[in-house]
Amino acid sequence: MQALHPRPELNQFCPVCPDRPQLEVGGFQIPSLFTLIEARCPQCRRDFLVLRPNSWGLHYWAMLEPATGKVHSSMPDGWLERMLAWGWQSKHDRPVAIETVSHRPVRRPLIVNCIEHFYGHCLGRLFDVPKVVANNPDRDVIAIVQRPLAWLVADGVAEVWIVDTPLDQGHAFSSALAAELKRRIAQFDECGVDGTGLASKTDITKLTRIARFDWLAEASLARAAITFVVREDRCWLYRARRTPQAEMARQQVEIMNVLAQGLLHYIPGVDIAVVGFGQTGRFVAGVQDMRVGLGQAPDEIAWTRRYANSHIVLGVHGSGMLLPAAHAAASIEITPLDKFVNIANAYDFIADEYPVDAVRHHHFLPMSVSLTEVATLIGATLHFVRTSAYARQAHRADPATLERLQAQYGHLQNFPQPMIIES
Amino acid sequence: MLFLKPPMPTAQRCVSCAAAPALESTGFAIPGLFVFADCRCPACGKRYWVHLPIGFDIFLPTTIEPDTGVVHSPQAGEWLPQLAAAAWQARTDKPVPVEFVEHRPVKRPLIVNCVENIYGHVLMKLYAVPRQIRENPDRDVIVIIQKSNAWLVPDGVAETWIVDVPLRQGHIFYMDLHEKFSARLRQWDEVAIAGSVIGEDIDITKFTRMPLFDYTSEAALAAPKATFLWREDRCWTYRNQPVPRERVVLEQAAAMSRLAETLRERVPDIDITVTGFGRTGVFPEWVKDWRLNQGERPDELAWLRLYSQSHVVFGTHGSNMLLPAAHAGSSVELLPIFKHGNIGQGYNFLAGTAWGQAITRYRFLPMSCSMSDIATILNLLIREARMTAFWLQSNAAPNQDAKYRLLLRHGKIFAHQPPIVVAD
Repeated sequence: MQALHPRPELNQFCPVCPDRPQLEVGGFQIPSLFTLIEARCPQCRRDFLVLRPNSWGLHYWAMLEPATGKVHSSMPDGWLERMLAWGWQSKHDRPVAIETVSHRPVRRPLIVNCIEHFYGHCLGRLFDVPKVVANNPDRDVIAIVQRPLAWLVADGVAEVWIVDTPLDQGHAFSSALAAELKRRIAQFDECGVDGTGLASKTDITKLTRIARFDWLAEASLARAAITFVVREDRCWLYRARRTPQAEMARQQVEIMNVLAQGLLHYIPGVDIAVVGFGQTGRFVAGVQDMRVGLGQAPDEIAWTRRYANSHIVLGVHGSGMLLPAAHAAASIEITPLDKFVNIANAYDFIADEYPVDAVRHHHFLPMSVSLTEVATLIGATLHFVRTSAYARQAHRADPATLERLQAQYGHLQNFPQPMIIES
Repeated sequence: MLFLKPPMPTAQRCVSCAAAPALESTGFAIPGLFVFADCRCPACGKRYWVHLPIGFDIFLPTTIEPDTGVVHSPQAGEWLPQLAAAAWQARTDKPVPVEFVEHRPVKRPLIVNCVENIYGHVLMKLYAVPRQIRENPDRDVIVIIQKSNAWLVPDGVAETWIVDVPLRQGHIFYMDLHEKFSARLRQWDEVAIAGSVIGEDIDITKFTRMPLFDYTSEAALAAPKATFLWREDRCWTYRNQPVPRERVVLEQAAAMSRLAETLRERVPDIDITVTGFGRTGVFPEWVKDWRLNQGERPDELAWLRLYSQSHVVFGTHGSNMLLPAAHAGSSVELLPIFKHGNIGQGYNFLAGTAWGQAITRYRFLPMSCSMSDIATILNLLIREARMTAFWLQSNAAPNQDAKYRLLLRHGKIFAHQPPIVVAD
């Protein structure tokens, strides 16, 4: 936790003056996803907006010169520096509505700013909320969050300030937002700020309030359930083939249909559903289509329940896979070449998994792989999940139950065979 | 814990007698990989060797008639009963040299039989040894192991019995081996043997005595190092394309060479070494070729040192990847289609690894993936290993100035790495 008001904490030197004098601290600004400390160099008299040395900036320092828009940082041309510059260049003075949801009176506020530009980063910051609440029992936590993610603010916060900033505008400096947040915070005698966005050991159920895949339920041994997660802004381009933009979403459905047919053939009774945004194409019989149109608000609870009942969720890598992977027993992310650098970002929710299980249950496949291999990996992963569920249940079973489990589900021990799919 | 002496009763019944009386256990037999209770039917006198629930076979009850080789099992089609049948077929009376290495006196022996015909299985059985020592302080652990793997027996055992049996033939019934073990065990009235050896959490350095990749070393930040693992019995067939059998090894050499060159184009100072068995094909001149001929004895310690200095190791999935992956900064295994079900097998060394490290550092890729994918992933893993080293060293730096100097010296490792794209 760091002090934000009345006097922010800062220990930063001037990036311009050669002898690097300590900056003098002024106030603060929260114009967007950035929490910034206003500071001035006592020598050169330059003003700076210094990124709060926390959150994504935990390992870096970065600051902006509002007079010129120039960004200084310890990681020249790093993504954070570019994002800060982009945020400044995108500054606007449009009004931003803020809805306050009050759970209890606020006396000693502690801000967790969960505004972000990427859904995955929002989740990363939201992961922090339960931890900040637990670690600061004498404080009243206020989560600032964009509307689509407000349902994920964990219990225990004193207030939620829901801002109507679109997700893809989370970076843009909003003078209206900065002014309103400064006004609100100034009403208190003191205010701190917390949250690193680098939480570890996240209990995802504290955010979604939906139980994860139940390894001890007999349903985990019975019918296999697989959920495809689709998005149309980043499609599964089969074997990474060049595909015209207009064809991508349609071809993605085609390839998912071929996969679904293969799975329906090889895994008797498999329950397949599709969730996601965009309703291009139709799925084959036997596949439950739970998609919604682009821009439509989904039934998040129904989707999350579906993930929690799935042995495997499969989709193209992206933050859209995080809640599915967090609730299902296993996940397979089809990963574009330029996204390998991001794999497992914000996968904190598997922190309690045994490491060998983690490598068996969470896969990141290059987009270039064949359908036969995707299907075969699904079969193998299903085997890992069900044998693990079987072992957990057998371990707890009385002799009669064990005998029944053996008779009914003993076949799950059979080693998985390749699933050959013509494509 | 199971017992060889005195003989343990068995639940197995005679399959020949109509009344199916319970078999009487009279002794034991350890002709190699298998450990049997030597049993007899009290009615018809027929002999049976009932396999003790040891190792990977706790789910696969197997009984063999030593006089006829007939195997009985409720899962007769599974690998263990079939292996027992093959072992009996190949049974031999030829002498097998055994070296009994004594580390300390044995009063209450506890056997861990690590004889196997698959290298990965040997490792997994060996993984059980530290726990057996820890959990049975009143017993003296004796490890039985083949010569080629004896160097991996951890400290703390009372004796090591080193048998001169080739790895691939570890399953065969060596009657001489059984005689020698029986004679040796005659001096004790009670002999225990370790049962299940599955799912041990282990510290691999207890076996190899070689430190893991050192993120705190200067070398971790210096020139990137990759090691390719070579084998000729399970080849990387690029993108799973059908290749005539006689060309498959040469094609593998070509694919690895291309991968090396592709990586070098992006990472000019990369240092690549190839280890493994078989010397088919050639690599670019700048690649260090440490391969040996099939059957040649490697300098295991030199290879291990190389792995533990590698930011990444790469090869086709198999037990030969286990020690490299365990010691290097990260690993990439290419999976043949019939090996998806083996992902993570023998990776017990991950115990204690953070979840994030487990799924980001250890990659299992289907063999159909492209050169661009493999090169990109290897490059990213190298970068991640170096970045991890940077942060560890930066966090340990005594002051801000030291951190800043480190950044100035090695900041280039943070440079954005776009995908490596090559034509397929």
